[in-house]
Amino acid sequence: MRADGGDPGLALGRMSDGPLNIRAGAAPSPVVDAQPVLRVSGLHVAFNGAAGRVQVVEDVAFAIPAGRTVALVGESGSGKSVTSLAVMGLLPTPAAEVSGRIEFRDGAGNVWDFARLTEAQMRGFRGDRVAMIFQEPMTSLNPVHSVGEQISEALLVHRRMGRKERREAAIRMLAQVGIPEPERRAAAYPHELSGGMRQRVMIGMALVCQPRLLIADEPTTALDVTIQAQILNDLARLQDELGMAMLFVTHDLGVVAEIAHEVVVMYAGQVVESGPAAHILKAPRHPYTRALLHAVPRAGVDRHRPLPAIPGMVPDPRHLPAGCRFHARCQHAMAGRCDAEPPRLESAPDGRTVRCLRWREL
Amino acid sequence: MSQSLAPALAIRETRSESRFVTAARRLLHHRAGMCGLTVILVIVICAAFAPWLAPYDPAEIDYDAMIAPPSWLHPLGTDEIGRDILSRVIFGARVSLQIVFVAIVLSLLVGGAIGLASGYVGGRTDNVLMRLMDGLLAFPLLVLALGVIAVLGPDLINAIIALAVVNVPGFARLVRGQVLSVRERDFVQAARATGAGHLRIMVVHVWPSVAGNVIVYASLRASAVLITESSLAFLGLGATPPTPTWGQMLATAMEYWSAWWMSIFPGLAIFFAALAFNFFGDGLRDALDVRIGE
Repeated sequence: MRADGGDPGLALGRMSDGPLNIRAGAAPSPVVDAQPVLRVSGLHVAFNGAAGRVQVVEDVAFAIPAGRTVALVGESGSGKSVTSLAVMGLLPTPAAEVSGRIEFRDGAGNVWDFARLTEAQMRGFRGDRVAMIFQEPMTSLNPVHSVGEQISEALLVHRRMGRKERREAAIRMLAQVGIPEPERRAAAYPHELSGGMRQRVMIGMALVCQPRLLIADEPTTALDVTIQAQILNDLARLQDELGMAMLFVTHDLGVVAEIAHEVVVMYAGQVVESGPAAHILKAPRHPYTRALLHAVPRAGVDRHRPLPAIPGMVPDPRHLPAGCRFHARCQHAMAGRCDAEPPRLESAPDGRTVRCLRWREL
Repeated sequence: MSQSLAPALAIRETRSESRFVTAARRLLHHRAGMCGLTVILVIVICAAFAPWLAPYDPAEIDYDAMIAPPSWLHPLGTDEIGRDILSRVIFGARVSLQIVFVAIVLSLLVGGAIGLASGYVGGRTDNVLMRLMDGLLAFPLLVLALGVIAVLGPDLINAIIALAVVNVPGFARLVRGQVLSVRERDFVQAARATGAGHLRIMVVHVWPSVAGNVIVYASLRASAVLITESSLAFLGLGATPPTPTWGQMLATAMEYWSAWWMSIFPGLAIFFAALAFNFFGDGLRDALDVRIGE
């Protein structure tokens, strides 16, 4: 979490007062759509390196229906980015071992398991039906190509579209992501644009083929707060326009509140809590989710009091503690129980899952 | 106050220009680079219009003036069988430039492709290709060129191939090193996320970031190729006799010490051409060696 969040009063747009704003229309959906666009189940990722085999993602499961957003939340090292890269098939091939199911339902209703497709098959999906936005707009654009060319590249790769058509599509896309003077900007090079504009270009690159699933890996982390709020609004608007499913990776629960319908909280490679955003943000059950929420700066809190931070660090995946992986940092850990018995992911009656031995009592 | 704001606004209004245009503008302001370019252009013009510029046919023999010092009739004198040195130097530019250009382009294409594949694919491919290049690099330049000619036989085409082979490892190593750093950049990952294939990523996304350095290297190597070509011709392993090349003229002049004009003028031609390629390469390097953006 961003324990160094600066002046909490600056976090405008995200939170007005007290509780976090929950995304409009984010009422908990009692039944998960029977046919989600993406269904991940039993996902495991391990890396084989010089130091041996390291399990970094363990038994992760979630589903995203069309038009909905699932936020993957956690600190650095929790496995959230690896999970999103696994869905895109972008993990380095011999080193990363992916098992489990990554089922994607295309527009015709066919289901594809990304964990079992070849690289060539996967390439046909990437940038077309499944697209991704990266964290760093400064470095994720190629400095030698104009932004118009970069936005329309997917149209060349997947649609074999001609130069003129692509130019027009790029200009339309720039306008759609809210860039003024799109005709002129299409010829601009990335270094001529501000960070916020570049992130809009990245979004344009991802959306140009109208994907059914968009993966956003911390798309607003590198931006300042006001631009962050604008980008989040634009993403939510574009999602509604295109009816995309969205997997949103972030460590910022304030952002989660703005954009997500469902939340999956990860810790040390495991899901520790998941469920509707409204429930989880209002009444977290897992001590880790609670601690994360406490660490969000918000308006109306005494600004002279230090922001609470979670003590300690995410454990090294090579030396995971016995029992609950969070027990060493948990305020509620019980000696002899939490450090001995690994908790299972249990279903709570309100449609969420929790991985904690004591969630009923806390 | 509004006055001080004006320049800042003007900067925002500048038209977008590609890296190529920016580099060309920088090069125009680089004095040594422009000198080099001018000399190269003069040589190119000489080569292109040789039949019109040269006072005589390069093979034409003047029986009245053998080993004649510079005169009004023969401004740079004549050689041992009465051929006009000026005409031969001008026609020599043709052959020398062709050799340099073809050899450099060949080694750039082959070396560039090897370096790109080696750096991008990595692993065993990289190991095999680079050890191969190391093997080639282990030979002194001229010895390797001589070896290639020994295998292929001495003529102009084979001399060009030899000069290209000799320069392949340099290009390959340069490109590989650059590719190793470029392929880790975020925009390569972003290109993969748009569904681009490996070949497309290599050529469209990685190569342009490497190309600047390669072009600079190519222009610097051009002078080395010119000199090596002269050395080969000097040893009688380049163009076959009626074709005039600068190196070959020098070789012949060796036997006629007192006729200084026979060696000085082709020597100066090699000297200025090599210098021009070097200056031009420096200029290009300064023009292209810029960090884009902040």
